[in-house]
Amino acid sequence: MGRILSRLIVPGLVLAAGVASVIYGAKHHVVPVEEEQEIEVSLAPPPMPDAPEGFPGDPGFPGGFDGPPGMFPPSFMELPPHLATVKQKIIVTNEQPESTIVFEVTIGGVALLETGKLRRTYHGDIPSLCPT
Amino acid sequence: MSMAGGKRRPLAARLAGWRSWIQATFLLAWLDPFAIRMHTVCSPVFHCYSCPLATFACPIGVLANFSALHLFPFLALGTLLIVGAFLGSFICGWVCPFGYFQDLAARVPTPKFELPRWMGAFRYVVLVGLVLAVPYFLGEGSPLFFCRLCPAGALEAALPYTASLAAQGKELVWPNAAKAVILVAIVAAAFFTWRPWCTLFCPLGAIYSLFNRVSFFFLRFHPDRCRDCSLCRKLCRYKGRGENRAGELACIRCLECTQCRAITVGTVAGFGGKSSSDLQPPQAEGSLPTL
Repeated sequence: MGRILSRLIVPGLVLAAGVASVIYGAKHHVVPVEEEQEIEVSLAPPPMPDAPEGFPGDPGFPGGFDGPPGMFPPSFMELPPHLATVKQKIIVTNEQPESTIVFEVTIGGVALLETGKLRRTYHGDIPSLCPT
Repeated sequence: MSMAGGKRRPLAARLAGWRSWIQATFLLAWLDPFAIRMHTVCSPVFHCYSCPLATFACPIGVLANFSALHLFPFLALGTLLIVGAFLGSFICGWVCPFGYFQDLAARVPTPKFELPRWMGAFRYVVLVGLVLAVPYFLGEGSPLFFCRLCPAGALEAALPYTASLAAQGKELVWPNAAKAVILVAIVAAAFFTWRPWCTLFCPLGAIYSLFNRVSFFFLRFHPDRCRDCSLCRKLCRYKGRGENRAGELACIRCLECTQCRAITVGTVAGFGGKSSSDLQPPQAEGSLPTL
């Protein structure tokens, strides 16, 4: 019995190390990965300037704007413009589980930057099934 | 196969006759028959994950890429440790699709040449150099990055990809030239020697062979049954030595040698391969089985 146990020690240790490695990799090993994301940013319109005193648009202007037909009031009398929406690229860092990194490397989806950080190489659809 | 003395051959020897079918069955499993791409999980075999039909991720590809990313591959390494602890290089002989491909090529009746045993050390050079060191120090963009040279990747991913582009009438993207040349060389060599890739270069086989001395299941040599007939050596296509079978680095555990009663499949706990009552006597020399 003791001989059998002694024979089992090495493969048992190897097996235990493998199981522990898989469990740690699957459950606890997370890797920070930078990702470029495109976000929409709403820009607030610039504050409307007050109408110069005595000009059309000035609440104190007598009779309000009274231009000829086809003529529009000056800009400071128009309604405020809609909020401007622009697309902006930002870098966010996500903690990715190792299994996700395994998938990402199969498509060449992660690269090591010179800074030592990991960066996702694509945005949206996966780039290719064959990175090499 | 005859059953000498009217006794049944041991299970391992009988199973060896079915090896080709078992390899084919496993090939189906690796080829993603149910379109379930589980590329977050490493398979235990050498099968390119860029293959359109790959079910799992290739452990060697993951090791190389993680080395390039300076990450420790807990999942890939754990998978190899678990499989290696149980089976050692049984995986090479029975499960690996690229080994199966070479076995099929070897069926072509051409003269077969044996490679020197020492050339098996190249596998460790490939493992340490191309899979670990080059990616770590030069990154995955290096032309020596393992996946850029891998013949399995050329066979299973790059060529099918080029073919699919051609079929769709799109602009062709040709495979990496080095990878294609290596594939052609390996395929050509497979007609004239047994498993040239596995014998000379395979880094996964290099890893599994390290477990051959400590895996739960291994080949046991019984000196008391040996008649020094050299049958086990003749049966072995990889220049293995029967008396050192349990720890043979070149062994892919095809179990052909278990037709000799002096070699049995056992476990480290001593189960299996003990009873000699159902074992046949050694066969006559020259009666090599077919794959």
